[in-house]
Amino acid sequence: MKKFLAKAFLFLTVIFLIVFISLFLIGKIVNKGNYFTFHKTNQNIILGHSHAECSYNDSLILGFKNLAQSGESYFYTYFKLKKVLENNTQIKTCFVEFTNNNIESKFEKWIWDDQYISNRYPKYFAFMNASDIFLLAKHNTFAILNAQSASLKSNFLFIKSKKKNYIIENNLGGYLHIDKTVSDSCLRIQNKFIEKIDTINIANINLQYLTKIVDLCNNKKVKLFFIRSPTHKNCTAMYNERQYKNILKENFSNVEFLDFKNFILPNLNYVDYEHFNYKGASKYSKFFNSLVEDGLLIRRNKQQMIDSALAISNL
Amino acid sequence: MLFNSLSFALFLPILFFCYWYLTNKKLIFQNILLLGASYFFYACWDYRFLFLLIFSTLLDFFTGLKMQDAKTANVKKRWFCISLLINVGFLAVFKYFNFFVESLASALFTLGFKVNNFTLKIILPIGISFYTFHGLSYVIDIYKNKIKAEKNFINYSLFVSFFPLLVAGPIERATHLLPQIKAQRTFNYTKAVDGLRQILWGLFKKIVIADTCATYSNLIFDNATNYNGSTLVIGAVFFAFQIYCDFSGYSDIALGAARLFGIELLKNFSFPYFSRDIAEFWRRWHISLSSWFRDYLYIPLGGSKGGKWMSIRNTLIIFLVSGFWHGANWTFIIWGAIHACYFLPLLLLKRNRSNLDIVAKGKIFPNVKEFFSMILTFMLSTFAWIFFRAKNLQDAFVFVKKIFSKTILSVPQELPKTLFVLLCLFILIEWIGRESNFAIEKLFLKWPMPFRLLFYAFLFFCIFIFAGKEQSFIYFQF
Repeated sequence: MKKFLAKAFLFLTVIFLIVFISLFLIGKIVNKGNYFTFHKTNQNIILGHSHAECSYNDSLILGFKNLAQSGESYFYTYFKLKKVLENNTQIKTCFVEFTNNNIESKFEKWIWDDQYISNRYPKYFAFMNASDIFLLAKHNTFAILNAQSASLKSNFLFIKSKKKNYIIENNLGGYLHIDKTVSDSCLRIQNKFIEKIDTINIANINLQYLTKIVDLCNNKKVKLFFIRSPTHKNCTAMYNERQYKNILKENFSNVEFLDFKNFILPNLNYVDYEHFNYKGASKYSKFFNSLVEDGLLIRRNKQQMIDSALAISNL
Repeated sequence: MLFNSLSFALFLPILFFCYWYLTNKKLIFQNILLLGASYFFYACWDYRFLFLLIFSTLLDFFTGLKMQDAKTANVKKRWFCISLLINVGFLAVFKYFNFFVESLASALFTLGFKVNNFTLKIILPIGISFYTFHGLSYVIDIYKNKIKAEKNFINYSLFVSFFPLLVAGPIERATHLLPQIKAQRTFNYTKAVDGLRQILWGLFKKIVIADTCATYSNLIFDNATNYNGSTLVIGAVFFAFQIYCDFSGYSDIALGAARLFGIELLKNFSFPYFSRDIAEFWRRWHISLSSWFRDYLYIPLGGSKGGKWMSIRNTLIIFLVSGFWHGANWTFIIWGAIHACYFLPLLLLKRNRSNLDIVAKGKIFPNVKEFFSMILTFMLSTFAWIFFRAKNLQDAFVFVKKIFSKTILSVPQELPKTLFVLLCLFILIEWIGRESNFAIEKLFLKWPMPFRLLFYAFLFFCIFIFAGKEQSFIYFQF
């Protein structure tokens, strides 16, 4: 019995050691390569979740690269940004979507729920520190253990393919073109009334990684803006506005905030209450581009400029 | 809790440790521990169905005792009928109710009657076909005085619910398993190593071969209209390997896991794709179910003793019932009927028992006749799998029609190279190990230890690479 246990233990230990070393080595190789490089003309990047992903058609905004992705938490955004800044010294400005759902703890499932770990962890694990992996393991041990094989496989296949663009190969984000247009009645059905809530659970881990993003940009001397992309005028997702504004004021007072929530378009420009379709994205991107061309980023009072432009565009 | 899940990877060693260390090697404690663990294992799917399992166990246990104590044959028969009716009733309600209602409604509609289609939202309790058959074989054996009723409820419950066989077999017999449950078990190093080896091979078959085949076969079967004939043939072949590796992989893990606890389960597969005719295929495919039907249906119906017509009738019945056992869908019945059509000529020509030994025994290669017989049998079984896999008969006929069109000569649209390499490797290993109980049982045993370990490490590494998403086993739905 003891002999059996000893042999089985030894065999498994050796196997897991080999697996661990392979994971580590392949992770190192991917981390060392310049796989996040993009065109030098792209000096501004946009990061965030689906709001930003559906709003900024970067082909219509000069010098911008949209790297936002649906359901992306700041945890994963941080690693993406770290690699992008490492490989693209030309980047001068970074826009990070900061909207009401980013502060809520229930959206921290975007970090460690099964589907998010199985989808995102294999793509980002090469750039994580042990502490980041432990954080995930603490919240969802089984999912992290399950995702190890996919991590090894996807990174091995990436190296084997000799392709150079990790962002494209792993689908790490970009503008999402949505053709769908919803009718007014459909849009009405989607609207769920949500009362303004006084107390919410704050997404501490998510905000912790947002702070890391701020620090990273400061260290790399990249100008950082928080941005709230437009949603439909009847969108009820702003029920936690008071807490949202508090966090912005107390935790991120050093970061400039650009608020586009008052950019309003007719219903046919939306796919739902929170996202533009391609028509809405096109109009908004042109609007955004014109502001940037008019010197939005160098103005002292940026929000005032935005509000004036919005007032004119909404007329 | 799936056999290919991390939770099972934790469950098994913990149970193994408790079983051999904490129970102090006392039989009663070992059995209680195994029973508790088996119920926990089952409850991990849906604890509500645990009550159904316990009820079914209690029913057969008490009817078994009542039959044994019955003073007259009539009383004994009454108890037997009660057990039979309730067991079959469970299956009828949970598995076949909607099928019967829908089929009746559709038949009446064809005859011009308009009826409301009254179906229920019934969830199929996992493993119901398997544990019901365990219970049935037990009461039938008592009724026929083949065995005595078990008086210890723990022993009987463990016979029905032993976790390796609970959800997808092998379908055990009381004559085989109960004596093992009642006998003192001691740790056997060779058996335990064999068990681990069989688990490793089962996991390789399931995770590396079956799940990879599933990716392509699902894609091809779900979009059959978009593919040409040659791609559909490839899809059918992938499904043939998927279902074999999925189910036999499950059985290997079950047998291996049971062996770790000193229990030998019935063999369920014996390299069926190396069969030279369909009769041999059925002696090697899902052996525990085939033999169950043979012993409890075919032989009681008269078997082949009542003349030619009786043989034909009984063969048809057994294949149709076997198809229907798999699920409440006409596709399974047609699958059974196709196999009956393959089998009957062999039976009538009295050639159904001409290939009893494994092909090319003691040789490296088969002869030309054997080789082509194997290919033909594989093609026939693969053709039948199309009906088994299709969602409905219409889909199956579209699939078959497309295969027998000119597009069969065109270049396949899906040609996954990695999968072809894996399949070749798998077939090679199965061929080399075909004279053993499972392919790697004796494979490379004569090699120096480091090389053998390297081979196991390779299998393990493949499993790790292909793992990730825990895919359920096909036979869990039956």
